[in-house]
Amino acid sequence: MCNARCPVAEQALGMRRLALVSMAAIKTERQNGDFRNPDGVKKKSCQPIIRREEALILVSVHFKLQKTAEFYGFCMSTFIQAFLLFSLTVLDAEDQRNKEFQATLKIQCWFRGTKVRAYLRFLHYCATTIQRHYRGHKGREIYRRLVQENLTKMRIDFYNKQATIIQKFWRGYYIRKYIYNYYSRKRYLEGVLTKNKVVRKELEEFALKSWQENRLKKDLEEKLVKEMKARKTHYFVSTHQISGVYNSPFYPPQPSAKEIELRNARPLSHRSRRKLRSQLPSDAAEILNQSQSIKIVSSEYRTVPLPPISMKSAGKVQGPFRTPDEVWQQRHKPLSPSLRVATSYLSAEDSRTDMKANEWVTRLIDDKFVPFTHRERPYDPLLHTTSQYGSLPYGTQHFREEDQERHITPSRFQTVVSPIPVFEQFGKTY
Amino acid sequence: MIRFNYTPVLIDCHAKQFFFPTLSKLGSVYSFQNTTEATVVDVQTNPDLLEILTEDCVVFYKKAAAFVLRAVAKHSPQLAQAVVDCGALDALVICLEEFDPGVKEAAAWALGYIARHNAELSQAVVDAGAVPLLVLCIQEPEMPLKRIAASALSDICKHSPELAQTVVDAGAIAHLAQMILNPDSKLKRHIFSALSQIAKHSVDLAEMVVEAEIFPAVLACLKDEDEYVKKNVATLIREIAKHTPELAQLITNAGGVGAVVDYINDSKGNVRLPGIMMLGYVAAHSETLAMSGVVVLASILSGNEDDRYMQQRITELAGNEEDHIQAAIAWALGQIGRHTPEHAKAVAVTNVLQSLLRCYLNTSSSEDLQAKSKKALTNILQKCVHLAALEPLLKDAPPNILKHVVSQFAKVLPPRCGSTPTVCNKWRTKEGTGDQSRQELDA
Repeated sequence: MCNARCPVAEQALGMRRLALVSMAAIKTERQNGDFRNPDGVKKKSCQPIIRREEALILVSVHFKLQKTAEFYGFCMSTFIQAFLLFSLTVLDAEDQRNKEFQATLKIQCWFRGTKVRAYLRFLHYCATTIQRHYRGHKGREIYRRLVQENLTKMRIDFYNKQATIIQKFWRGYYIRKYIYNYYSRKRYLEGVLTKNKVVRKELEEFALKSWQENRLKKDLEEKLVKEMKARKTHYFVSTHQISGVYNSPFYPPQPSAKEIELRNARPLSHRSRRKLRSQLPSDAAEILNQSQSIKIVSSEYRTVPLPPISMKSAGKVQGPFRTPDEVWQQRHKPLSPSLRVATSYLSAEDSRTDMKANEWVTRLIDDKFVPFTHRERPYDPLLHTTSQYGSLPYGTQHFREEDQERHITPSRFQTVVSPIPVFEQFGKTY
Repeated sequence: MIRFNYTPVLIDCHAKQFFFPTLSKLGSVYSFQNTTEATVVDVQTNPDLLEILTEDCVVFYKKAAAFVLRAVAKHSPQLAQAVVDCGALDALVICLEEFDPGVKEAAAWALGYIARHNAELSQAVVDAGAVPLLVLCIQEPEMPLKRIAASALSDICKHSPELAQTVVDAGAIAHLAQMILNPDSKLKRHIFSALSQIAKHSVDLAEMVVEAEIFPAVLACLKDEDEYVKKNVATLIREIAKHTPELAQLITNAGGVGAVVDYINDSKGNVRLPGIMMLGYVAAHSETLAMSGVVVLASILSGNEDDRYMQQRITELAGNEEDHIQAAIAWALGQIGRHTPEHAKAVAVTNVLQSLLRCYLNTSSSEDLQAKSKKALTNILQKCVHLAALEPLLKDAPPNILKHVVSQFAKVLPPRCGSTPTVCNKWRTKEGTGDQSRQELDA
């Protein structure tokens, strides 16, 4: 830009110099004219000179002020015209007056127009400046607001995101803890499964074992019954001479299984046979003991009686023994236990432990609830102590009637009856 | 007729040697006679009988007298009430304090028979102070006495929570729980029946029963050889499980589900009913428990290689069983399948839905079974998204079931059928039923 403007500036400078030179020439001319023509003719010729001078000054001034390239071009042409005009005027001022006038008018016209335009431009420039600043200010305001809004939005987004994260974790935690936890449930189901498997296996083993046991027991019982039957019916056994019913010579397995059993069995003795017979239930007992149970019980609980005391030998007992009558009486004396014996030896301790246990069960809390804030309570003095009539001495100073005059005797009472030893020793450990 | 011959003898004759046969015959006559006319005789005879019971006389007479009372009280609440009105309870309770176990047994037996009829009678027994003595009888060494006492306790507590509470307060649970693993199966029957009668009333009582630490031990009795023991154990487990999810979970955690399923597998007929109901209760309580049940079942099925269990259930449903068992099975299946699609699928893959439908549609099945199977079907269908299991229902189901099936299809299939060609084609292949279902869909 600067390089481009440099020749233009030089050109303008050259022109200015030219204008100054022509101005100096006009001056000299005027001096000459003054000397030569001091009358009206002189005046006539003097007028255009002054006007030309004026124009030149204007031009030069303008060169000083305006430096734009267009202006230079324009100036150039007008200046050349003016210079030509001047040279012509020099030659023939009178002839060229109208022309000069026209030129001057044109120059003035242009000059004034330029001046107004410059001023307008200046005004425009000022207005633009104001507008620029104002608009800049406004724009910045809007910008700032936008930035603020964007920032707020960004922050809200950010916070929302963070809140979502927190909510996510909290909800996850809460649901896993209180509502539904997939993994714990999976674990639980697996646990139940294994537990069930174990239990089923154990139960199967248990069932198998108990079945085997039962079978063994049943076998044993059957065997015993069979043996007993064989013993009872031992008389079916074959003798050397006569073969028994189970040892038929006409029936293939010669000594049959039954026969072998009978041979192996030991016959019942006469006594045990009688005993068995006596154990058979009578008609009445059969009706009464419809349950197997009572039968078992009555057989189990048949107590063996004590040996009888022979009453015949009364008075003939050797040794330091009581008479049989006395013994008999003692034996059949009904039991009458004392209260001491009837109650348990540990009844006191038992009841104490019971009470303790009961207390422990029924107690709701171990420690009393204390208030969590200690309220400041103003001290309430007793009515007795603050009364303006004073307090009673009874209970604080004395507990007995101190009025000595009212006593019937000055000496203390004496005990007449001897003390009860139990109460004397009460509370003493020696 | 015979009784009129005997009564005058009894009343007139105080010669004790005649008493015994007379009494025993009288008792046996009463025990086989279930007419209310016998009351006429009772009113006259009882005072004499009571005299025998309270008097200091030979054990056999007391036993026989208690037997007569028992035989009389056995038949009806009115007769039992007549016995109570004569003041027999006090005499029987005195007999419970007797030394002889036979007398105690007879007295406990009579008390149990009196208490078994209704709540008032058993309240009368409790008021007579029989419960602590019965609890003492349980602790005796004699097996029959234990049995009878346990059964009497069971009869007492079965009527109301208050009665059960009195029995519990007498400390019966601890003694009953001790004898769970007793080898005597008849005793175990009564023990488990007593425990289940106690547990059935309320959560508190059930918890007390559970706190006696019966749990792993009880399951062993599900493998008992005696059917009644098994049944009573299953009843006990059911009564405990039905109260709260916690109790049900406790049973599940102890491995109860597997044991019960095995027991259902092993046993036949009516014995299975409490086991089936127990499974239903456990499943009804919570989704997790139902899932654990399903998982256990699945494991058992996979362990057994053939799905014997489910097959069995299906055959049961197919009509081999009695109606009430089928109804229970339908109910239990409904409870299992109603929680989530997972549950529903687990139930539906075994073709249960069709069997349920058959039960529902079968005209010969009882009203209860129909209602239950319908409920189960709707429960399962509302959760089921397993289309393969649903498809057969499209053909057979009546409209009130079909609407559930179709709504499940509507849930699963995409709204416009064109999106997945395979599903669409499948859908189109069922065009015959499809038209009908579309109409349903539109409606």
